[in-house]
Amino acid sequence: MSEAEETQASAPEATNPEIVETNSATIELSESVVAKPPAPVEEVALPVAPAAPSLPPIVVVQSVTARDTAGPRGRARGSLTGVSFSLGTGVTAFVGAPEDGTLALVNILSGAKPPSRGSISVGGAHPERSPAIRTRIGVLSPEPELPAAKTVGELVSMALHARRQTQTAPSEVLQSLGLERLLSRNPRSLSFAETRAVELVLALSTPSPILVVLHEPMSDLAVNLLGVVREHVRRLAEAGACVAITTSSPADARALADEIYTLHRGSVFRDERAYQSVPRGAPLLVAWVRPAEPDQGLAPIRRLAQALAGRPEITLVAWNDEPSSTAQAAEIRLSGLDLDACALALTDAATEVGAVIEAIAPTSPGFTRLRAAAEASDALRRVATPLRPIVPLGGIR
Amino acid sequence: MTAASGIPTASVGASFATGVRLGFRTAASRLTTRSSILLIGLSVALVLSGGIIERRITSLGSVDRSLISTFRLVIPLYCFALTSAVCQGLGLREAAWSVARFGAARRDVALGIVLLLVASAVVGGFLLASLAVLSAFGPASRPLASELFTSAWIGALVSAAYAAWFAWGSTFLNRGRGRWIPLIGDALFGAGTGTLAAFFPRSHARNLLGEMGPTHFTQPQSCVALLVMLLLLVSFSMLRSRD
Repeated sequence: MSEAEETQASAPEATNPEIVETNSATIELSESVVAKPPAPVEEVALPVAPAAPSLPPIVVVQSVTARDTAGPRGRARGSLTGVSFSLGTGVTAFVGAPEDGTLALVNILSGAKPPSRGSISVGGAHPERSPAIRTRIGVLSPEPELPAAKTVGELVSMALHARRQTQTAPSEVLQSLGLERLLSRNPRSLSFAETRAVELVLALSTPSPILVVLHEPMSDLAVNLLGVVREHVRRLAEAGACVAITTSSPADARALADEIYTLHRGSVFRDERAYQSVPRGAPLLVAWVRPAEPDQGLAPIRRLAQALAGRPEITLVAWNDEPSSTAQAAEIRLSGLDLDACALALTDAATEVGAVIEAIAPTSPGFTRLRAAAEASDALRRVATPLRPIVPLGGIR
Repeated sequence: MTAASGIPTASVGASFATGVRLGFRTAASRLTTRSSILLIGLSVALVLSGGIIERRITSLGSVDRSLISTFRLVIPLYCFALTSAVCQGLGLREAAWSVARFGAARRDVALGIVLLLVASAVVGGFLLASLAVLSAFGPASRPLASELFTSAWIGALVSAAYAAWFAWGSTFLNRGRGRWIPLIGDALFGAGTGTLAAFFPRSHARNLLGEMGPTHFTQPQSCVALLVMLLLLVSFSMLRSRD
């Protein structure tokens, strides 16, 4: 069993209600905090399963081999080798580095470049050859590719005209992510993050979107409220669009996507356990905390737990101060809807009660572990069934 | 009409006119940069200094010599640099992508880019040839007005043909490196008088300036050859840039 698999195998154990209930500190805490409603048992025990739509896939990728041109002098940085999959409505994330082929995947999905072998169709058309389908594809590319113009307003207007959205004002589009301040700026004066933000707002405002391809939608963006981006992505998926995300952050993938795949050395892998959505109530975050002064005992830790239980971002707090743990340090496990929000709440509460955070980590495996799992899976695949695709056509939904 | 996902489909992509207009605007924005202004300044400086030097040596035939050096060196390089600027150092297809990605046809956007490229080349060629005449004009020269008029339209026509060649070249090889092929080909074969020379603008420019043309082309034939070159190569560029 690989490291990643071990981690995943232990994750459901931590979410088991029995284990949570035997922790006396948790029971005592939930009794003492009046404002905190107890987490429903069914929410703790059941993983969030995305609905399986019966509609045909939107994106069909068949035996695609493609390379990007992001290396020096237009050389390839990463490539895809004989990849097949299909995507329906909803949010799907591909976790991988550019060297694994994420850039090549964005290129072929957006229609920027054709695959060197194989075929791709989006809504029944080839995105590289069909301008009509491209009006319905929104893209946040790895390197911003926007029309050259004198102002951002003019740039957005050009994009809107190309999409035949002649009635929409550029300010209206920029407003949705609070970017109207950029309207009169020269695009050449924008920072990378600002240019990406403009590209993102154009991608999210695609009319009747069929496919929205977002590369690293949670990083390098001059957008203050990333939660708004999350909301937009969710709304697009609910409206029936297919949202494909490429990222090297498993945490971002988990925060945004219904389905997650690993892209490793040009192949697509799926490890159900590694990418299973963290069940509601299951720990998202584990932190090791201690009192600021050694003579304070564990009182500050208890106050910290109480403070955390009163935070709206946190759905459940569990803590462990058994003798086996480090002296005067406690392990705190937090559950909530959002990893970042949990981390922020913990930092705030620790400052408030005078506790020191020694270490903090998400309970789900990171990118390195996922790659190792993919590597192991690949080796197994080669030994067992050399010609069987990991993600068969139509296998995602 | 609805898509497989149940989402209503949008109308078709941008119209031909919109695509061309957006391509034209994109290329215009790419040309209004500091490096483009520097390119124009450098070309003007080269032509002026060449003309002044020729006149200093002797005013007899100084205009002809100034024009020959302008048509041999400055105009091809000016058009080449102009093509790189409007394509942003990429191929023509890739240069059209920033607009085409939103739903305009690549061919239409590329046509807009090429039209602006040809227009800029025509204006540039007209001005550079005129400056070559003005800077080298001396007492022994032919009447200024006729010299100026003839050189200017030849400059415009030859520059347009060069722009078309480089635009077509930009549709080949990675990052449009194919535009080097006509530049090198013109330098190597355009100076001759054989059949191969007839394919390159330099030989026809020489013919129009009063020297021997390729395969004994007359001057009107060279004009027609340059126009055919322009139309065919722009069409070929569009074919190579289509979706």
